[in-house]
Amino acid sequence: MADDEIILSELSDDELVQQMHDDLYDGLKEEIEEGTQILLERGWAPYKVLTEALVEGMRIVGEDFRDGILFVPEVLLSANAMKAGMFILRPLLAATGAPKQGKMVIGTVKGDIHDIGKNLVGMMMEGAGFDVIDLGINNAVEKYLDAIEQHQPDIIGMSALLTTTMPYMKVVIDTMKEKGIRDDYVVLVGGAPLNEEFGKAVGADAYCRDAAVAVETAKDFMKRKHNVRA
Amino acid sequence: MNAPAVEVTETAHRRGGGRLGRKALRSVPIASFPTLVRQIPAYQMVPDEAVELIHQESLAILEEVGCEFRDDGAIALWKAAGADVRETRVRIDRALLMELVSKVPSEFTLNARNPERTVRVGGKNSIFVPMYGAPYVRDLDNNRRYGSLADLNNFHKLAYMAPALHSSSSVICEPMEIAVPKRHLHIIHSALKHSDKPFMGIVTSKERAEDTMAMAGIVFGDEFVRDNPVLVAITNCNSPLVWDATMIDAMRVYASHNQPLILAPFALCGASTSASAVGAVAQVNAEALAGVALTQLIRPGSPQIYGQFMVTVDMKTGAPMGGTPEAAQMMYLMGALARRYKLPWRTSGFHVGSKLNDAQAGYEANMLMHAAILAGANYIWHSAGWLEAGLTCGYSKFATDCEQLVGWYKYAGGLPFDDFKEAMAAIREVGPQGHFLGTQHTLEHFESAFFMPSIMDFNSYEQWKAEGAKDHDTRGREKARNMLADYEEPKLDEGIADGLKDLIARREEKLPDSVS
Ligand code: B1M
Repeated sequence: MADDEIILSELSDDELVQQMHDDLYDGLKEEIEEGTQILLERGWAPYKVLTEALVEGMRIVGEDFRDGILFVPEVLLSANAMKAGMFILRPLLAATGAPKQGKMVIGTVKGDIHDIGKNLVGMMMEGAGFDVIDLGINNAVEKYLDAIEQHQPDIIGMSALLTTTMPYMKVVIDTMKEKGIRDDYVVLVGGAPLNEEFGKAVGADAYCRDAAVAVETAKDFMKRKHNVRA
Repeated sequence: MNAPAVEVTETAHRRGGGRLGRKALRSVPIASFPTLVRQIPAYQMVPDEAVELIHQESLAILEEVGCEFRDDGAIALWKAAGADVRETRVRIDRALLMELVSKVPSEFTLNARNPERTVRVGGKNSIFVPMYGAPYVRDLDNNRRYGSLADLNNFHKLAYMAPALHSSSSVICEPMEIAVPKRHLHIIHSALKHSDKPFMGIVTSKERAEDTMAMAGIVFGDEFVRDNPVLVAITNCNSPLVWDATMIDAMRVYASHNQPLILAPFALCGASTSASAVGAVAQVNAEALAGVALTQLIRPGSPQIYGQFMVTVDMKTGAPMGGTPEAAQMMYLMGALARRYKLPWRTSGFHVGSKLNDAQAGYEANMLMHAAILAGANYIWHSAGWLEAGLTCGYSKFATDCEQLVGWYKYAGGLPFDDFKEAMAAIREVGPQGHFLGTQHTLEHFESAFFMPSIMDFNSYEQWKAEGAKDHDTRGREKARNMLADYEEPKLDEGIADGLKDLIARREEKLPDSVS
């Protein structure tokens, strides 16, 4: 933890980025906001701030979460700090035409109210720089369609914890097919009773066994999307 | 528990007995133990003042924060009862709350289709109930796969055969091959066909709850199930402080038929409650009392089961844990509160996070069952099969749990003094240096004196090795396999059996094949 007084603006670029990695790790929101501003003032491109200071910092957080060194409440704090930095960068990124980090609409499907896992996924996605629109629980297909229209996401995430509600994922995907929009989006599914095979059977792009895998998978798809466009 | 007289009268001139006779005597299946009447005191872990403090805090939560009831019918009931209702938020003052809670009977009879399996719940009476809700099974060949109707049938058979299980539960594992809209019919049918013990209702929609009641009506008579408990159903609060429409729908169906509901929030402590054992109990108590109170607005005096299913969250992943000391401590607190309210209460026994029937499972299960027993729980659920925080039901675990329950049944039944005099006489008979293995007292009592599990292995190393050096998990699966081979279906009146089949056929015609 940063116990001695540090003046961020007096640090060199390299030192500041290192410090921001530490501050993200420690979930220091205001410090991240300040660091982000300083780098921008020094003429850093918003995309460079995002990737080198924030995303890289969260990569370290993600790694230590995976390895059991960091715990959920701590990662939540880090993700919040990241979100604060993103808040500053988002309009600038759009204005400079930087590659999009990605936007996801996520919700628990109709008939199902389990949301602890979905919330974790949303939080980790935000932590990785994604824009997340959380539809909450008990979502009928119309809710997903409305959200798709309104928010134009890259990714649709669906969560289900009940064997009686998981077939509803297929209802959503089939409706997307009927409307001819299925292939415009990446569909990721998750929830404890699902598995790889089920994900395939309902026509999702991938099944994600946990939040970290969800982030990795989403990043992968975004990378492919950018490559296709490039 | 006494074995009935055995027929070994092949030839008239022989006395019988001998090897065949003894074998028959020992292999007579014991169908079922009666209700466990606990003969040991309930243990209270904290002083009365602490219980009172939590109680007061729970009441304050319901008065100040209130609880959400996301259902128009429930809101209307609360308004009529005079609670402070703003949209779906209901603030309940303590006098109203406690008046409603006091209407719940402290004990009730839970009828089985075979009257010999009928049990009491509440007070000193406790029952053991197998698990519920597993999408997966760990099967007889030790593979993890989705559950099927054949698996569910098997678990109902095992539940029927296990003497210390007092219920067949219902959806022990999920029969995944059956279309969701029709699945509940086959779940209830399997429980009623393969066992004659009490069972559990379906709650995932109003329609499915009504189908459950219709099936119960065929077995027990429509008239009978209007007023007499024949099943128990679980409605979960969505912690923190939300009762939603699906659960309230089910509540209405069952409570209006006087069928008990379990109002016992399943809280992932640290995620859906504060990260404090006592804080979590104060919240869960408030949620449970609010649910109990609503049932009394639906049908005053209907039997209900208060309680909790509280697990701590693994802060590394957010996943539910099993067998933690705090989970045990919270049970003691809830037990003390239940006694304060004179309510029958539920907790969970052998629920674990382990993937396998291994050392982790053993430690976890034992930590929690010990607490459930000493805390004086009445409806001890998830007492057979539970693995992976409820995602999997294991055959080996099921068989082990059933066997261990016999031990816990005995433990909670207290220490018998009835042969104390004879035991003292045996000391005098043997004196210093001798041994007791051949005394009359030992001969008369050895079979019942000490718990004799069959899956646990106490053989010599060499013997164990000669028998294949099998680990516990393997022995558990073998036991399950053997039990299933010995299973005989309990009698079910033909008219009833046909009635159930007709109802299923009629409903299946109406119900769709997929969710929409
Ligand atoms: C991109 O998109 C993605 C990507 C990844 C995604 C993703 C989406 N969603 C999840 N992931 C993945 O990433 C997450 C983070 O790593 C992970 O999420 P998880 O959700 O798996 O993990 C979480 C971090 C922790 N896990 C959880 O939060 C779920 C734990 C268990 C114990 C569970 C809980 C807590 C609850 N429950 Co429910 N519950 C169970 C669960 C058993 C289990 N072990 O899973 C299960 C799922 N429940 C069950 C049942 C029966 C029910 N529950 C119900 C209610 C509840 C509570 C309200 C009490 C509570 C939910 C609280 C809440 N706010 O979510 C009822 C249904 C309510 C409804 N309409 O939905 C009710 C019907 C019980 C009742 N009679 O009231 C069982 C399923 C039955 C079945 N066969 O279908 C169950 C297996 C437990 C059991 N054995 O009974 C991954 O799966």
